Amino acid sequence: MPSSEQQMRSGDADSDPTLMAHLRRRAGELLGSRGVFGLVWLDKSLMVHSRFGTLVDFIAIGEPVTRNLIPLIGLEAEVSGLKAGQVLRVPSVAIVTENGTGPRLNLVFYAFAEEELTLLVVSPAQMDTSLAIELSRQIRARLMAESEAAAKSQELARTNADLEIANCKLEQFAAIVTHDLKAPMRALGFLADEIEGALLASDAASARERLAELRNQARRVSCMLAALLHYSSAGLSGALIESVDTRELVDEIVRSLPHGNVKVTLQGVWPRIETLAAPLGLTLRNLIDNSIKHHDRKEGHLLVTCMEAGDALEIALADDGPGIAPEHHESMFLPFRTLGSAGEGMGLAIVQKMLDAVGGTIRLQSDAPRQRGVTFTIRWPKQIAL
Amino acid sequence: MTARKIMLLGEIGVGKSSIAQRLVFNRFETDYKPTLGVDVYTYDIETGTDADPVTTTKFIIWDTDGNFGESVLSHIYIKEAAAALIVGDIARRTTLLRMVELGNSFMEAMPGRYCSFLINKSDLENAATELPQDLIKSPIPMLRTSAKTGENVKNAFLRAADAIRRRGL
Repeated sequence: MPSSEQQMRSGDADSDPTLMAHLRRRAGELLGSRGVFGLVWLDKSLMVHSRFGTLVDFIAIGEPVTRNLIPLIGLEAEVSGLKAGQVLRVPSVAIVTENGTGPRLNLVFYAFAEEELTLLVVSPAQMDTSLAIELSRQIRARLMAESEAAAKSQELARTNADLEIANCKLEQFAAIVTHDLKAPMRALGFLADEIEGALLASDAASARERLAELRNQARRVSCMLAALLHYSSAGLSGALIESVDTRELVDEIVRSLPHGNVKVTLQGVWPRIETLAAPLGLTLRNLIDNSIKHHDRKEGHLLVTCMEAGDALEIALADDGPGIAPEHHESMFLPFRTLGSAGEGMGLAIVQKMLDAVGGTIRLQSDAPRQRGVTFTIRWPKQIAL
Repeated sequence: MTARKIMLLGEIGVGKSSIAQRLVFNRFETDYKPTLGVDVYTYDIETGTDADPVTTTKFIIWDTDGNFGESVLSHIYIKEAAAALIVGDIARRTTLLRMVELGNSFMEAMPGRYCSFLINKSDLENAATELPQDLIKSPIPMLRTSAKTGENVKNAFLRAADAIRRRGL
């Protein structure tokens, strides 16, 4: 509450115009000297005519106002076009220089009917700055957290989908293994019973015959288990990215495989690439071996062609063997699937497994028995993410 | 020397100020300081080819508050802008989607002006999200930038300067 003396003085001042003018000028001087506002008068060509207040000390008199207030560049027409009574506001502007960010200022232009000059009132844009900064920080943090959560949930969905596929494959694999191993195991049981029967009947010849069969079945089970182990261990674990001369790799595979009756020809462009050498070698070895092993004629031909297809190598292996009937195309890549007597039927399953691991694909084309031959085309990515 | 106004637009926290700081002062600050209102920078950039004489353009770079959204397009701030670089964060899909909306609105509000998308924070490749189809299909040119490493930052402004000169903006 103001004292009665203060009230009286205030009342006195109101009634004394000279004192009032003095007080106003004094108040203006105080506010200007403390940087509460600054005043700049501009002529029609936006040259600085005069200025008042420490806040606008940096604005040079006699110079275009844009020289020191660069945010006004581009707004000259707006300012000089102001009509009497009009106001133009450019709020919350800061000039950034090598020395840091200058004060954030509100720039307000006034035009007067009786004056040739335009008045620019400059004031600090305080507007709860610290609160606004904190609010902006919080908003940004929330947005970042939201996007991180979205990315994680996307990643989780992807992992779940991968897991589902893996589970599906595992179930399929377990079913195949159980089914395919069951038959020879059952045969072992039958043979043991028969041997026992033959021994009880003192039929040594028959017992010997059954024993030989039992050995064969046991060998078959052993081979199947070895193949299964090979299949299970086929993967990228421990594989290294190396510089691979693809033609040399295939040449070496062909040299190392017995391919007496099948002539292998290489065509196309075989580049040197940085890739997982061992998995690529294993894939090609199984495919080449498959074509040679299943060839059913005295003389045969396997044509291996390579071409670059965007971000992958496309390698096609076309043979003139018996081919694969369309109804077997899908099952050929499952473990223990073979159409002939050669091998354990794991080669193509291993190829599929390797390609899945590196992000490649395989395509099978064959129309047996209408037409002989089969073509396997693999796409091997040039860049492999480990 | 001619002075041209260029706007940095985009969602909050996408790195607009970092791009300006990288270009003008060749520095990168890890401490996030939000821009409230606008921060104005100047930068002289030279363009030209063997056929054309080299010219220097003074860029008045208006680094805007990400909270403005599209309202900035009806603000006094945008008056006489010759170009806009619309920035998004490669790790935040929503900011990339907003870029397309902002870009379309800018082209509508300021026809004939140069506009480009900057997919910023390209150094965060591991966190990168898939680019929205609308962004890929947009006719507005796109550039991957990193204010942190400086990748393509100057290039983005050089392209803008070149376009401004060619279009006589």
